[in-house]
Amino acid sequence: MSAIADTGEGPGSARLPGHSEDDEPLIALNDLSVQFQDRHRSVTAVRGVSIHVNAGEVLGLVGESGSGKTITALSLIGLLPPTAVVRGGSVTFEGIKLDQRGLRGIRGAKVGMVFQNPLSSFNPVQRIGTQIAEGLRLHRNMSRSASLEEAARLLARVGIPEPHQRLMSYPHEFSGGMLQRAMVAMAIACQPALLIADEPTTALDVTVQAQVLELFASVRSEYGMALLLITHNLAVVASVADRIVVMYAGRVVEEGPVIDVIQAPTHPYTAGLLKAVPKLGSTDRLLSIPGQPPDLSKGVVGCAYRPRCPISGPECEADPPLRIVSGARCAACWKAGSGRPGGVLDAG
Amino acid sequence: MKRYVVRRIGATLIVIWLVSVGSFLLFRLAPGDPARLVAGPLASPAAVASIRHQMQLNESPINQYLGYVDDLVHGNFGTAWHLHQSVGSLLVQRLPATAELALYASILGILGGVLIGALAAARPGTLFDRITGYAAIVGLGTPVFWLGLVLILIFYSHLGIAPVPIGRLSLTTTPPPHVTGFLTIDSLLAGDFSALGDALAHLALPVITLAIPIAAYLARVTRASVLEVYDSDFIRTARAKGVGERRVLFRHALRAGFLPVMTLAALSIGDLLSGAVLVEAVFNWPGVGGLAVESIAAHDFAPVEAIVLIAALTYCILNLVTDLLYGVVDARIRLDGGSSTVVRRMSRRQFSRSPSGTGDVDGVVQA
Repeated sequence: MSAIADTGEGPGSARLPGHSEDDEPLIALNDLSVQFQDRHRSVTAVRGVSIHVNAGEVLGLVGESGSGKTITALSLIGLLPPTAVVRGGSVTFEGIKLDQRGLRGIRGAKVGMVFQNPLSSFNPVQRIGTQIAEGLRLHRNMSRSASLEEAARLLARVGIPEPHQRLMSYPHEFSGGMLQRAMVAMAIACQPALLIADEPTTALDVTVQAQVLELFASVRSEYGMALLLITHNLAVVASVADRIVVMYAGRVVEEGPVIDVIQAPTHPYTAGLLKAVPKLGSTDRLLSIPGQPPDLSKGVVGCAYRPRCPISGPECEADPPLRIVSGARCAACWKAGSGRPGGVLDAG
Repeated sequence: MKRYVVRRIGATLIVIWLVSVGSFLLFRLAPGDPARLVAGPLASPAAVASIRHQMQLNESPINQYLGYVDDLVHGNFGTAWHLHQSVGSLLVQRLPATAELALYASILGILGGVLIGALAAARPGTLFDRITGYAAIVGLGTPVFWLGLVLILIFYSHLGIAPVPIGRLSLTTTPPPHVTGFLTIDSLLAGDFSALGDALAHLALPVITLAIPIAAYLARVTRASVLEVYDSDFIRTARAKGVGERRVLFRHALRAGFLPVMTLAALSIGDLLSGAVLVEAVFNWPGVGGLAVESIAAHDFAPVEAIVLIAALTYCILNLVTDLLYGVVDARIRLDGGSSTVVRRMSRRQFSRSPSGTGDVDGVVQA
């Protein structure tokens, strides 16, 4: 109960759990808002989002398409497209606030990124080896031959057979799964402290998905790096993540240790998502969340989930701040933390 | 690959043969009497008849053509009657002048155009982008002969920093010994730096005149192509690796978007040959363009046939080299089937210069 009382300062300034003085997060993004504007309309893709990743942890960033997951991740390394109008969103890495120059310095060296579509994410006219070695040559000042040798070692590490021959291949000569492995090799080349994976398995066959996830787990434990896993697949998050951040309509709506959140979601959207995950052997009907996410080109007043929410009330016409619900958990819902753990689940 | 090259060389030979027939027929069918023109208006009918016999104009057209091909196979381009000189020796004098002009103009035009286009694409909407964009449209719409005259007016008449626009060297300069026929190279080989400087000074204005339309065109093409590539996922990947913007532009975006640029660069080098005719006239350049114009006026077909043949051959070779380079630039293109011709056709259609010369180059090839 007391946890609710000290959150009157609003979402931007509230000190969030897992973020205490002596336990500095590895990377933190503070109060990011992003708009995309063209001649006809402006879309607010992200509103006041703060996230952080602690050293060595796996953070699952969950939400449906258009919820702002990718924008949030790209902001962490300063890779938003030039059309984005950004407010706030300062990035602190290992306690140091970074400007654009600093962000470029950590890209590839301290933070590696794996993208969703492996085929389009490789340069079609360059050899795989050249592309993996490029980061090594830039950040490690390696010679051409040394960087290619290291690239071959990395390819072998991610499970690509005959790595020396494969260095000479072009992306179109690889399968999707192999490309994603090569992409992982490229991202971990400089042994970054954080690996960001944006829907890394979405474009792959189901059987390959599991292999790639396994690969993530094994390189992570080997290098001890943190992982920010962006996905719309709750099952994936449940199996690998330590902590989870749920986004909806450009805001963080729930955050907390993954076991707690999955067992007892405090935000009705998280609860709805969990019910939409099919369970093997279950004969229950699979539930979907009724309605559509709001159109972000129109201003959202009050709680964005209100039109689809089964438990909304009159108080939801005001925008709920992200506040501490209990211990290490936060939610942006007026009804959350009302003393009924898992209450919203029952209410659905 | 080998089969492809052999097939393309075969196709080139057919094109050359058709061109030779075409240029041969054109002159035989054209009105006027070459023998009368060679002999002069005051010559007696007997003299004209003897010249006509010398020129083998009494033979049947088929025999004339066979004789022409027979000479050609033996490396004999015939005689330029109005100059009383063999076409072969004329070409040795004249061809290097045009080739030197075309070489430097294409280097300047391609490098300049690609560089300007790439830099503009890296900063869309900026002052640099807009200024070069307008300049490119002006450059595309400007006739080369007018451009040449304006440059002469500014740099020779007003500023006085360009040499007299007549020929390849000043009258006071001794030409270097003939090795390649390229005055810049020959003077370097002879170690004659004053001749080199003079040759470069004479080359400057005609080269710039020829290069500007090429640069303008390629700047537009490069900008469109690079801009399209900039939206690709792999550009984001490169940035995510910490690659700097300059490297992103030149190593990733420009290389990936180079295919249409390369195709059209080759085509505009081909166009140089026609531009050279006008520019050679403006700058009194002793090249093959001027020779062709003089010969046409004198009804002297042998030099024209030779020049047309050389132009066609140059064009074919340029095209073949470009096609072979496709596979080098983009490994996805294999030169065994029709894929390369598909790309070429697409890029030609999408980047074809509109008749007004303003160059509609918004489309980009998806290889």
